[in-house]
Amino acid sequence: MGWLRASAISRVLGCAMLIVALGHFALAAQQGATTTVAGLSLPTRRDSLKFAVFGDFGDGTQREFDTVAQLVKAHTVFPFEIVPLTGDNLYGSERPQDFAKKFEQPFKPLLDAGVKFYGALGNHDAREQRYYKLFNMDGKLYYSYKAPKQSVRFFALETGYMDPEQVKWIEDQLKSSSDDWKVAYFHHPLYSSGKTHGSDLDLRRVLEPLFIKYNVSVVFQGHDHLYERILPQNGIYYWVIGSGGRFREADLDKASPITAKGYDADNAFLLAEIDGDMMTFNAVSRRGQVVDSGTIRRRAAK
Amino acid sequence: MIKRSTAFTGAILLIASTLALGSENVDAQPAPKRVNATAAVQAAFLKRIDAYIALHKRLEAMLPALPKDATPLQIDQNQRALADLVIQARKDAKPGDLFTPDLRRLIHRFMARAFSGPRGAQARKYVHDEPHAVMPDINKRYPDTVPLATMPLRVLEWLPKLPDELEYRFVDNHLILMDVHAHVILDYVRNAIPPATAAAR
Repeated sequence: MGWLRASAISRVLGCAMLIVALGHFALAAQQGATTTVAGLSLPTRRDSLKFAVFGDFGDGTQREFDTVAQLVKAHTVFPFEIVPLTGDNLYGSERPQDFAKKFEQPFKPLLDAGVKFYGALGNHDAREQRYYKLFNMDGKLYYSYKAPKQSVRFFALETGYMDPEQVKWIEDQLKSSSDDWKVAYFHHPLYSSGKTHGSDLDLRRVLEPLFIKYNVSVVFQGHDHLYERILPQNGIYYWVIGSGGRFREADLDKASPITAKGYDADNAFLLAEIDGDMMTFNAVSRRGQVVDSGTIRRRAAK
Repeated sequence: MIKRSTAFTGAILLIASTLALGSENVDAQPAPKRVNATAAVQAAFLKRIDAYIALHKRLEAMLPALPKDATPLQIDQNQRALADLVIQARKDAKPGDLFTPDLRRLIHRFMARAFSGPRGAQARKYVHDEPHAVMPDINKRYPDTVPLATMPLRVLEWLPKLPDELEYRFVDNHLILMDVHAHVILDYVRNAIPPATAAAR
């Protein structure tokens, strides 16, 4: 009887331990899903151009650090070479220690790996950022550069101060570029379903005709603190990538007719790969989940 | 690094600003006298800007040149040192030294048109999309925590073109002239953007 009782107790204890162990396993699996980049679906071809797009981030909060940590993890499986920044690279004060805390320290693994960042200025960015070596702006408020691989040229604009000189510059640059892919990026969105800011129609009136005329395929924007892929507008693919650190939950207008895919439940950034005429992309959340993915074809030259 | 301070480009600016004003002239008065007066006011402003830039360059030359790979510390030190020099050199500066009363009147008149109607309402929305109630002051550093307001293209098209060292910005409803290298406010036009109700009239 005593033995039977002891045996029953040990069986119950064994079951309990098994349940606890299974619980731990399940929890570990769940935690695993939140700490690694799960389900990336990028070709990662040898000669493709791999890049990430990040925006509205430099506030020195845990949110920023967590999101950057995911970007760092993504780099281990998807070795992107460059990161265009859609602006608001630093929030608040911009003392030397702010550059360290809000940019150099969190991004150190990527900087050490030779990843190059290319800044565009947002409304929170001091103009002096153009002299900051790690933003690779070469002292310019707006500039363009050729990607290290593939026939791709990026155009970084300063949309907070769109003067006639800059309008002429971008037209000349787009006109003279013979690259297959013309990719523009800047802070204030021409198209956005963000409830806080939304689309800047004044800017759209100025820039969109140039993008159409000179065959821009892709536009990356920030300012609204969310992720949104816009339905193609006149053949051009627009993204809002403004939740690298700052975040506004449920800020996406769910009734917007221009949204192809939106994500305003957490921070996010974009990974993209251009190979020939195709660009494959994955949007990744702060918890490492792929929240949007797809492949697009560049606009054909007229 | 003034790109266009030559007499030739000055003349072009004069013509361009004259044309710009003509297209904005809602009174539809063929008043060449008034247009010429406006162009003269703007040209005089650019002369004052040229004089300021000469001072700016003289002061900047007193500082060690920033290396191409300057650190944030070097950039910050350079900017603050230049700000100190600018403030010292302009210690007697007062409102209206650069934005003179006649230019202020023109600016107010233009802004009333630029910020009226549906497009004006849109422009107002973009300028004020992250509003901060700040009263600008001469020789003060632009507040570090106040985001820079978007400057509408039509406003920048009308205002006389500035050299790279300077920028116009809105702070709240006020137009400021800022030395971007020194991060210092040089002058301002209070309530350049009229209240929404006034602009709608």
